[in-house]
Amino acid sequence: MNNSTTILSRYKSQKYEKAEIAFCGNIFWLYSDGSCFHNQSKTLVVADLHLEKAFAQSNATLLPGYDTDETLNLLETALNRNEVKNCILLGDSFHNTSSAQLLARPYKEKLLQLSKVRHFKWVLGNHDPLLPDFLPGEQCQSTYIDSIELRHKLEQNENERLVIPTGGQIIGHFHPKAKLRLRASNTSGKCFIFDKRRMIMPAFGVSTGGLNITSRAISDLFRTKPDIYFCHKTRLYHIRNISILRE
Amino acid sequence: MMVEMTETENHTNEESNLPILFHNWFLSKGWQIYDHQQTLISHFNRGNSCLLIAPTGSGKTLCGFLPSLIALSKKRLKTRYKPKLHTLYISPLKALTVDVQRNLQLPIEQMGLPIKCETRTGDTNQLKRNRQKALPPDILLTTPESAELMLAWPNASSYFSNLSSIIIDEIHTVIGNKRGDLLSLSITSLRKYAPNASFIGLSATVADSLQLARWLTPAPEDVAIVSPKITKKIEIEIYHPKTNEIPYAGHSANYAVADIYKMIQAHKKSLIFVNTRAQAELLFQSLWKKNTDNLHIGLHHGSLDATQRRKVEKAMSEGSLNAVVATSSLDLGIDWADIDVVIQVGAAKGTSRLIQRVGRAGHRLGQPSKAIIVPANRFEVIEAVAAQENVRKGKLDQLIEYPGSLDVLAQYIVGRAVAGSFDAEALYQQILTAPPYRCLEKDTFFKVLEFVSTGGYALEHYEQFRRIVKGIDGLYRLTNQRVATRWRMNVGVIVETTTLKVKFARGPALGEIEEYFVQSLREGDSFIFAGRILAFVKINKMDVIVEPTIAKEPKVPAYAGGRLPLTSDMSETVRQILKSTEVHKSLPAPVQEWLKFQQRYSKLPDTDTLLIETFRRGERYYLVAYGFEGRNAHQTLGMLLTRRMERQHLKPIGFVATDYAIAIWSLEKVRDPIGLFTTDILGDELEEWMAESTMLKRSFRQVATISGLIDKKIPGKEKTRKQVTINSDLIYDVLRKYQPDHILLEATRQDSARGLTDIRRLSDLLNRFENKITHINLPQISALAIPLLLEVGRESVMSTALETMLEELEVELTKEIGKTE
Repeated sequence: MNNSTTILSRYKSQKYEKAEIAFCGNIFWLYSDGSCFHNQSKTLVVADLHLEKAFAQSNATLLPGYDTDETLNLLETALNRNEVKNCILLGDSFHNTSSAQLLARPYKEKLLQLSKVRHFKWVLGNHDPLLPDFLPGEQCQSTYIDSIELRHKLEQNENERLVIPTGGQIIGHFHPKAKLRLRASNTSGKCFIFDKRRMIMPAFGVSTGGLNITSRAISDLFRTKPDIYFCHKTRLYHIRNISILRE
Repeated sequence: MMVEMTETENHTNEESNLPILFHNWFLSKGWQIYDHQQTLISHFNRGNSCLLIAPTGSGKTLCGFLPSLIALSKKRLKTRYKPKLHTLYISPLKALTVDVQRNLQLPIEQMGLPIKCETRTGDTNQLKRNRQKALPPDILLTTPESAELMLAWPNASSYFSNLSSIIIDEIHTVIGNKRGDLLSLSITSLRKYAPNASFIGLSATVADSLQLARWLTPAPEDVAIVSPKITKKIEIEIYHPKTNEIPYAGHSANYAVADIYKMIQAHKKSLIFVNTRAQAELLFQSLWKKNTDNLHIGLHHGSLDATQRRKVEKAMSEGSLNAVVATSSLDLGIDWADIDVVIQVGAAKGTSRLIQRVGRAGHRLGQPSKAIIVPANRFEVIEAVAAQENVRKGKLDQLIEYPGSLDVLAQYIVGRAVAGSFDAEALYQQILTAPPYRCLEKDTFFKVLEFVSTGGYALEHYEQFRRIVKGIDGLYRLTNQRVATRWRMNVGVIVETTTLKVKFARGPALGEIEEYFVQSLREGDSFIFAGRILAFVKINKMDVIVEPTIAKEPKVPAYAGGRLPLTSDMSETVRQILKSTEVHKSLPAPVQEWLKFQQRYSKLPDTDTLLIETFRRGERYYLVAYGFEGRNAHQTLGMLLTRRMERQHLKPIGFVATDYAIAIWSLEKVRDPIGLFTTDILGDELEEWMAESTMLKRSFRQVATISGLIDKKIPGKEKTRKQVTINSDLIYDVLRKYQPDHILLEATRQDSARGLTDIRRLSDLLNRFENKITHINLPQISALAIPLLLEVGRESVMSTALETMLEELEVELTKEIGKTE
């Protein structure tokens, strides 16, 4: 049966399975849509939504704008999966500032509706350093869960050197993805990557590209061997064997 | 427009009706002008369009140009020189333009005609292009894509205004496909710019020549069909191995390599055709291993670098090669007069294709074309006999036409805006004159226009980005020059998978292989390419750097596409041959025996029933159905049947489909095999499967690229262009969810109807054999099923198996961890 056309008859569930991990003394639940839930504080973290990406580019291309609908629907699903009181959007929530300003009415309404029973925290990112005031909730450069700092990208001091956080850190920005060499084919997809101190979250937005975790920009950020959780359909796969990663 | 001829210069030879100069040239060659050449000249002189249908090797191409050469030779004497394009030649094959130029140069030089004849294709350098734009040659030889680019020049209208003759070559290859759609639309532009030009269509013999005339012009009754009664003798022989061994399965024909080599030795110049590029590489390798006489054997296929190909073509025409191993890259026109044998390795899968290939041999009238078919496996022996039979009866494959596709239309409309401005209504009327679009609804046209200007989405805030706007004069114009740049980069309908250039660290490029294959290589891995064994060193940007090696077991690159399914005319003949035991006696002994076993222990398939066999082997229950409807139709049938079996809890595990049959295996025994094959399988299961199938997504990717929604991937250009790389699958899913009536989805559905001719074949099969299914339950595997089961393991893994592999990986790793801990 190896190598021949194979049909999977196992039960296909649409339910996302969670992967429970310990990070900086806290328990987080990771999901393959790219979201991360901290049950203790009932906080959902999502990074890099890049809402209105297609619209922001539509002077050059004709891509359909439904990526925003799709990402917001995914966000709604993620918010309803557990009891969520806080939602942290870890920067680059919009593809650019002007498309955020021009946000169409149905999307505004959707955001207002989602934030009715929860508190939204918009961490500012490099794509959206300014956000319009009509967005519900508060805006900030960084925030904390326990002693873990959450910000969009690494902080630089005035000498453009990286500031080393005192506690743990969760960031977005890089859109980490992994390429895997499997038995009979190769595949690639987004992933969580973290060591004892730092976690990089995958991009949550549907029309976002990714940066391979083997690239120096990402791998240099980890001193110890990082854990990798690969997102595929409704499941996460813990990749412990680095030799199957491809460049 | 007729070319002016004055009495003084019109010295013609009475007998041949040719100008003296030409008459003498013909005499000096020892040739006589053919009737059909004369007929064409007189039609052209009357300003009529013509269609010349003749087999290869009948001087067809020269014939198409003869009127132009005569006209130009006279005109030049009379008028002062002011360069204007006189003749435009469009060929679907780049290589053909080079070849035709070479062939035209001969009479031009020998008669000392003051005629400039040049090619213009994707390979033409910028300098020459610029010159051609300023100073057009008299005769320009080009491809449909280059022609479409030229038609979008702002001065296109004056550039083409003097055209007298438009020659379209190999028409039979563009009918019913997107390249033909684009060409057909371009022709409407040409007709607009040069209303008096005559069209000359050239084509190989087809089943229905009126069909070609209908495609060439909206007024087919005005086209003179010139179809000389040339009966070219074709001698087809089928190779019988002396060793009495013919493999059950496989396509390499390795068993016959020694004899193929002997055939090359026995002939002066042989042309060896195989069906895929991988087979070409393999056969080339094996032939060289046997090459004790140091014969000159070349390799030619579409993935090789253009300069490499030109070298082989040149060497062949100069006569310095003994043989060339080629794929369909050499199917069309290239004229090598003195090929004395064509060796077809593997089945040619269609009669027309076989005739075309065989026509390469004895490429002169009066000389028979000699061909030898070397079947690669036992089923192919039967197929070869069927092909021989069909060629003898002159049973050609039908060309199937479809309504013009909408993505091509979108591309064409943008091109009109790039060219300048247009009036929508006038453009619509013009498009209706392109035969594939004669039934285009006005509503659909405006939907496509809306798509190219705003995307046609039901999203209000998209209105502000109109790329094509209607001015107060009522004309449509481009608002954004970037659109023009993107359009120029993306013209054409050939959407290829990403390929990488294969190169030595220092040295020329050898050709291109698919990215997918490169990904599976590790440093030091060896593979066969361009007739050499190469070791993979590294990837440098878009280049694959290699070095020579002498590794023992090199891989063979995989190429997308390649295998064509058996045509339906062929499958019918195959059925007939299988049932007539009389014919079996002429088959090689191992095949006779094989069929005898089938007859004794099971049953031979026939024309009146659909044969199904079931048997058990090991832990698995097998079901084999002999449909003979081609690989694609069987693949679809396999998907549908397994779905149905899953629903009946039969636990199907996998299936394999070939051109002849399909085998499915399951963990449970099929209780009612005949019940599985009811026609309603094409209702529920098909709908459901189609919606999820990767096939539609693949068509969508093509539609999205051709229509200009996403960019074509151009190797080497990724880094320099700011490209929006976006997953077309995602756009497809999102559009389907939010705007199911979007024009691109409509185009995709229309498109898949084209690709689904195989589904039509499948439904014909099920209807034809409803209540006529013979089921035989066997204690063991049948003779005919052996080749199928041998194919198992050659098929690639389906994407759904990915999860299994990921899980395996986890299990494996957990084991590893268990060991260390």
